[in-house]
Amino acid sequence: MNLEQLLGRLKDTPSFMENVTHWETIPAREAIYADFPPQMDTRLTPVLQARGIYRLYSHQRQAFDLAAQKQDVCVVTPTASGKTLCYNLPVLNTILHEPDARALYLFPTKALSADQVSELYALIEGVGADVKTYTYDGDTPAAARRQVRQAGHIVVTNPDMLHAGILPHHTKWVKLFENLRYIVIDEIHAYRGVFGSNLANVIRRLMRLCRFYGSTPQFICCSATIANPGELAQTLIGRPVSLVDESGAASGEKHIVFYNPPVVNRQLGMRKSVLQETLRIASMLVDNDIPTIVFGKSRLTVEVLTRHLKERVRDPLGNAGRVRGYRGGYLPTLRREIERGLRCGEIRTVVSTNALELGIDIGQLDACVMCGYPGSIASTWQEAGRAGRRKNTALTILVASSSALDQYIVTHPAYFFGQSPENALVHPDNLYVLLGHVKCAAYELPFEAGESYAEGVSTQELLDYLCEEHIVHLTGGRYYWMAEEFPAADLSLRSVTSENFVIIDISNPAHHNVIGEMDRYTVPMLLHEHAIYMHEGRQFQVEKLDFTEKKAYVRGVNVDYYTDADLNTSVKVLDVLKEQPLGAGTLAYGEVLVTWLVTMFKKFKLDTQETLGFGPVDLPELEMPTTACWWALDECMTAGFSMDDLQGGMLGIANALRQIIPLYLMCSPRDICVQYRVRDPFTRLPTILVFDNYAGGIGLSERVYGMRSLIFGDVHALIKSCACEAGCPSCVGPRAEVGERGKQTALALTERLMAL
Amino acid sequence: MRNLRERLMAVSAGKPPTPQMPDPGEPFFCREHVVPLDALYGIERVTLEDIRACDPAFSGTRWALERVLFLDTETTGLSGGAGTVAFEIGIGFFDARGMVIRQYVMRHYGGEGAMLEEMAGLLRRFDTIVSFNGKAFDLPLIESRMILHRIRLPLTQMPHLDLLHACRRVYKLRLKRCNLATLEAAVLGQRRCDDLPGAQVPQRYFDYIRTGEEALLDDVLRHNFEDVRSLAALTGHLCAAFRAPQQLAHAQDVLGVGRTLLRGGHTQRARACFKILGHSTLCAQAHMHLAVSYKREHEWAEAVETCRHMIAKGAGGTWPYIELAKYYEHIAKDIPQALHYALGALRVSLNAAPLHGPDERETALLYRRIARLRAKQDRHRWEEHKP
Repeated sequence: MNLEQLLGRLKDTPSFMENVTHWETIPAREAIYADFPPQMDTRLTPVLQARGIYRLYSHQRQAFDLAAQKQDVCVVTPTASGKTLCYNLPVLNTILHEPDARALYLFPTKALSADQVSELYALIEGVGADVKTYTYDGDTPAAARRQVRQAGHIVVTNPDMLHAGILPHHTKWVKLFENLRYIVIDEIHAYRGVFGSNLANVIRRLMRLCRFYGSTPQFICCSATIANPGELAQTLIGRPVSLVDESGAASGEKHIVFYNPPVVNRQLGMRKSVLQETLRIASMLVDNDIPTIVFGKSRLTVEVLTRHLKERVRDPLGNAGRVRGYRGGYLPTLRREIERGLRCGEIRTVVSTNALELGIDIGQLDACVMCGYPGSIASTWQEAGRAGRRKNTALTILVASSSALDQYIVTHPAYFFGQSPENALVHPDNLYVLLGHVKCAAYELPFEAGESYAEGVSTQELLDYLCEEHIVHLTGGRYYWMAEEFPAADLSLRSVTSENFVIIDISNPAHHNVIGEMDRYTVPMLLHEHAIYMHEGRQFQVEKLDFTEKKAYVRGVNVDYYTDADLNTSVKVLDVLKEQPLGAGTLAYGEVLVTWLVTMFKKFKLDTQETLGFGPVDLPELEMPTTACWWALDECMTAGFSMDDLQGGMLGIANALRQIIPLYLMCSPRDICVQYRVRDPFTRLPTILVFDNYAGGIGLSERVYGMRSLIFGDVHALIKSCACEAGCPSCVGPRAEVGERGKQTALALTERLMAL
Repeated sequence: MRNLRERLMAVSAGKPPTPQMPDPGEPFFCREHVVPLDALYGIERVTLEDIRACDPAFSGTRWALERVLFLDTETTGLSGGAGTVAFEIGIGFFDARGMVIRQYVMRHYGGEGAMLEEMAGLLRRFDTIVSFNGKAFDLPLIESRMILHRIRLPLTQMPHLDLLHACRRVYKLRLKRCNLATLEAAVLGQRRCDDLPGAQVPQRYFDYIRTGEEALLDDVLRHNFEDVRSLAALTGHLCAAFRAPQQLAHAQDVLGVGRTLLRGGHTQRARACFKILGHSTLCAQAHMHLAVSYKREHEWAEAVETCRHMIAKGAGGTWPYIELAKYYEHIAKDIPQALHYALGALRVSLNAAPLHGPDERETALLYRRIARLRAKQDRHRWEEHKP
């Protein structure tokens, strides 16, 4: 069966359709074309024509024209709409006219840059001009680097390399900086949170050096569909952009199906496993030989799905190469091989983590199955974009898990299709981020007294602080770097702290084996001494946790109990930055100090959940200053509830908020934490608090503050529409946690909050 | 974060918004010393020929001592990025008095531009640079600093004798480390006393900047003075070694000189070095190089003779056997002889290391060689029997 036939068949299968909560059909769209721009170099025309391009899509032409008018451009178009031409054409055209002109391309990952360079090479080869394009990253051999620095017209790199490999050594890149005309930043939607905040500062430093060398480059940015591409681009590059967001590319008919696995236990709100259901659907596509991509959320899911699907296609000789897995952790050569296999059609099915969400060219696929909601509307569209690149029909099936977020999405299709995708948030003025980059900037070039590092940043204050710390030195009206260290080496762009613990299996004394790693904030919970740690279905007991060396030593055991640690999270308000009344209570935003402390753990019997005993945990507290937003509820709001009910209700709201907030902020659920307290020591009122899970904060809770109590409308809708009786993991949390009347109280409370 | 913000505020509260800085004064100072020629190991006798012998890649076309600049810097760090400053530039050149060593030191960071201007003017009087690791470090650094002050001087393009590389080629066999102090002690026989460790240099300068006490730099300048002087002394000594390798006290040094000469195409002089070593502990290596030099020039009789000589003395392990096997197979086309030496190599290889066992990669290659030779031999026999 081909895909059209299969779709017809599915629609006639009641056992499938009864689980479908929504079937959206997006009609096919004709392409909108524009002629080649008159100022385009005539050498480019035949090369484009040789690739079957006789006219441009309207957005490609628009981008070219805006770039020609020296404007900064941000192109927002769906996958496979030929966006690389949006920057390659203006850049090549300029270099063909002015052989001294230079361009810098930034891609978020090395893999992406390798992919794009090969495309660019082909174009340049066709033109036959001497335009040198080089990738400059950690893999560039030392011998080739000199050549890249001297002669590269187009230098392709990533933000990390720009930050630590190019900017601090700018005197070796004089040719590039003096003649820099274009800075291309692709996949800007990848730069959110800490990474984006850091990139914005790297760009500030880059522009500062360009001013020194007398060049005034313009930007061309590309983004997948997000709510605020213009705002994001503007924050990243620090100046206004012209937005090109009308795609002229053709697209075939698209079917997007929301599939909710059937309920197997109504009281507990349990549904059939998302993995099993995904497997069932994917098998059907594999059996019909429809080119398919399956997205799993974790590496483990990907492995399990791959194994099962491979079984399905294994031929009598044992070959199952038609189905491949793809995830981070595979070696680059293996990944390139899989990408190639997908492009040429040898591989018919690929199971991947979101590693394939970014624009790596894997050619044409017809169907996409998602094992669980990818976490944001934007990623969902990105992943769905992997199917249906040509003009033919495409199918996307989202199989929901039982998490509240997934359930909300599949039961509220109007929300998904009506909502613009999420905002990507960056906060370049986070004090920690800022300070790190001002140090790097001072290393790169002395600051003049009165020089502004960035608009609205009190540069003077930061520099005086660095003077005090004996890192810079003020003399003759200039701040000079005066330290031996190399500041870029101490600053990682990808996260604020990146210290992981390694887990070492010492079961075999002759051969210690590293079995995994864990971030330092989770370690006290799961790897304290005597904890039972589960790894790939096996039990280990933690023998020793070396906190200073960041190592946990575990030994394989076989016991009938598990352990659970008591984590005390306390949040101390340090400073209120913004505040507004909320009835008689308040909504506030400010700086807080979060403290984590694990004091004890309990042992539970595996089958009966009986408590078998407990033990102490002696580990240092972890502290993190960050930003938070909180709602303090006054008495009228909480009137009529017993203390227990209030407790259950607030816990329910906190659980639901934890699921809803990532919907709005386009962040991972791990980026935020929600806390509640029936009586908060700071506000002295029942308080619900949301804080950024990053030192210094990355602007998430400030956004939450901006939404006032609107967000409770969605919390209410989520809880109300859940079919469970008195709480389940999909809404307020299990009944055992929130109590008999927890769900009811949560509903009543949110109603009151909505009314404000 | 509260802490950081409070600290920031406290810092800026204590200061006026735009600091009024006192005039920082003179941009730099300069100390000058003169070293008499006789302390410099015959630097005045050095010719272009000598320099080319000890540095086969030397790009200069002349060597006139009055146009040669000896250079060494002291810096605020080793990272080599735009935030590393050469706060001191020590140079040495020759005039009627002998070797003049001048040390330019920035009095403050604002003085760098003026100091580099002065330096750029000075550098134009010279056409050759001598340094120790200057190709990778000092010169790119000065060039970087000049770019920051918008002075364009293609320093890294100038003819340059980098003694680090030249000395490594000669002394690496004898000395594990090839830094200046080691070389001074082992080659020139001069030991430094109370020398300031390089790692302490940046902090000394930072302290000087904060306090203005010039005495803090005394140790740094003394250290640098010795470095610059040693550049000239080492050049003199090294060139003398190339001129008269037979006078060198260490066999390793002679071998180093020979290898450098061979690489530079001075075949006859290189052979002379290897022949000096004929009866030393390094005779195996020396003969090997000697044989290679004959082979390269297609002087087959001498090459064969050298290999046979090695075999007779039991020197060089399998190497002379394999070389002879190659020679008889490809050049002399004498397959039985080739096979004879290939089997000899195998015998040596299998018996060579009773403790570690034979080198498996080598024996595998030998088996392949022997198999190929046997096949050739059979073919030849077959062809001989044809009518």
